Amino acid sequence: MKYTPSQYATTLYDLLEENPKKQKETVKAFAQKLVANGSVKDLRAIESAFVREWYDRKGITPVTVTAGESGAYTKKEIEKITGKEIELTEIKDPGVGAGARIRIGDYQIDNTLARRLSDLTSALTK
Amino acid sequence: MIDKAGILQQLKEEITGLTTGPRLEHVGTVIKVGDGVAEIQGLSSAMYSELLEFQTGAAPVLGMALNLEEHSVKAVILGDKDKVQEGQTVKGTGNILSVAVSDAVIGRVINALGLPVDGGPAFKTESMKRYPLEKIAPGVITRKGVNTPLQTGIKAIDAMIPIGRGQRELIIGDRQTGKTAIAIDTIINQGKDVRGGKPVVCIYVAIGQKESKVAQIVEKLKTTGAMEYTIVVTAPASAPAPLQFLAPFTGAAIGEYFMEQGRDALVVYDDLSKHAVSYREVSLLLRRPPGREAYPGDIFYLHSRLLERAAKLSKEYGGGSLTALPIIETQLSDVSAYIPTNVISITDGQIYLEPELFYQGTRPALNVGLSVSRVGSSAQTKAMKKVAGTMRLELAQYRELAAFAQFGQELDASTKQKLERGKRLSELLKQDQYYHVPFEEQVASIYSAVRGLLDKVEVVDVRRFEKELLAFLRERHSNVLKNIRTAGELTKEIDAALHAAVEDFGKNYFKKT
Repeated sequence: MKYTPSQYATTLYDLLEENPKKQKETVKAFAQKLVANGSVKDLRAIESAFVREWYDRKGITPVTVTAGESGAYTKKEIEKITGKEIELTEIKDPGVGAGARIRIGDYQIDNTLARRLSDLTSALTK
Repeated sequence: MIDKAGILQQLKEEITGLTTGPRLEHVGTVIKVGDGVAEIQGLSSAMYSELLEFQTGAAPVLGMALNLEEHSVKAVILGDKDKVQEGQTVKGTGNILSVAVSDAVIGRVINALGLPVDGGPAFKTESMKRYPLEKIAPGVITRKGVNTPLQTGIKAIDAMIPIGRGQRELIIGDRQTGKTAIAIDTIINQGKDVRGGKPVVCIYVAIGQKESKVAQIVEKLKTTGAMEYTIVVTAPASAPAPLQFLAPFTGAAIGEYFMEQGRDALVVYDDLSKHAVSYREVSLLLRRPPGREAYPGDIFYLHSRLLERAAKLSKEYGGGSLTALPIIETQLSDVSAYIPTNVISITDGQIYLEPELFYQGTRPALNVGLSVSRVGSSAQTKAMKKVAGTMRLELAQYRELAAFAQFGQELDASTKQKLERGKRLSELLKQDQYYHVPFEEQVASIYSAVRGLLDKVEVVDVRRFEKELLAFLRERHSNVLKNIRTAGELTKEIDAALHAAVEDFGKNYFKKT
């Protein structure tokens, strides 16, 4: 039977939750099962599904902030705005110029200089 | 002289008109990519057939959302698929896939996304209207019955399988039997048979064709002047399957634009067999469950929703029309295969081309027995109906008797006469490619046959006789031809005048021979 990446991810999460002390053995057995089932090619999708499952069950929202310098926004500031517990990942990218790009789940707020300049270029070259 | 103040003012307006504040975007991440299909995590509120932008670097690559699943979206990549990689951000545009249309697209060769591929200038899309590729077909209230003929210039079709404006007539047959030739002849004839001031706007959609064939068709349309009212949408065999699958919908959207302007449009889908194959490829890559012959379950719906968009609108809605001529290529004349039967059941009739007839020299290789037009007869002019009605009956009798005559039985005089007339009628219906016969000349030609004038002509001389008859009528009795065209029917007076003219020609012709 073929399992979807989502089914694999849920199973792995349940197994790890049942036996948190045997994490190493569980992951090893799980990897062997993937090889046996010929599902290694779906590893990236399983990984993504597992991360999503992890965030969903813990009630945490992943937030990524891309800015020219680190510390543009603190975890507390974003939690205050969103009203949710978040996990903050900061990406330092001098290419954005000024401002920041904040990704919260499926949404992204782009307030960078790079985006404004790109809008201006496309408006003038139309 | 350059107006400096004007330029600066415009520049200022352009810049001040920009929204430069923070922008909220709907995004996802590519988690899997391969074979032109990407799986995206996120984009939870993406719409079906929404245009997506893969953030690959300098210029985004476009995609279209097709499978909306619980935690992911599967999309087909419409641009350079090699640039799309795992981990890249994908933005939702909030727009359904659409094509920019205006009168400027006439005379151009475009791809399935509406972008010119003929080396000509880019379109000024700001001044164009955007038409969605997928649109619900006009409803019952907005429609009107088919009532105007669409002249193909091909005698056999205009006489026996007439096509009306707003009709869907399938052209079906094996490879190399003249399917595209009929469609191209019909397009070229629209420039010659102009009704209401403007020719029918023609859209030729090439799906999975060789680029050399498309180039030849464009060249032919240019040399005959047909490109002046034609648009070619091309998704050649080298284009990715998603673009081949979208091309007919682009053609339909362009046709709808002209139909909604109150104009008549004709769209040729060449061909829907290759379209079905490209949709099968896309569906299998999207891991949709395969059905019969591995086609997805919604292949019938795909073609029915495309062909339902052909319509004749009522006067209150502009009175425009969109006629569809889908083409299906059969394998070994098997019309009972999956896709041919589907499209036969959707359309309002079919023109069936037979390889045996083609190799015998009957061109167009039309099988009159299997070809049918279910609604076109109501659009046929009274004049043509009058002469062609008799011809259809006589040809049917001929086919039946010809089968018996093969046994070598002794035949009575009446049967022999019917067989002889049938042979001459079949000969009369032969027509060279790119040779279009105007409606009034078709009437005169068939009139001479059904009134027995051809009976005295040898079968081999039938085409010469017809050619000379038409030349004679054009030269000496042009008013008769003109009257047939303007009246559209054979009144007692026109009938008498035509009879006299044909008799007049007959006397001289037979004296000569």
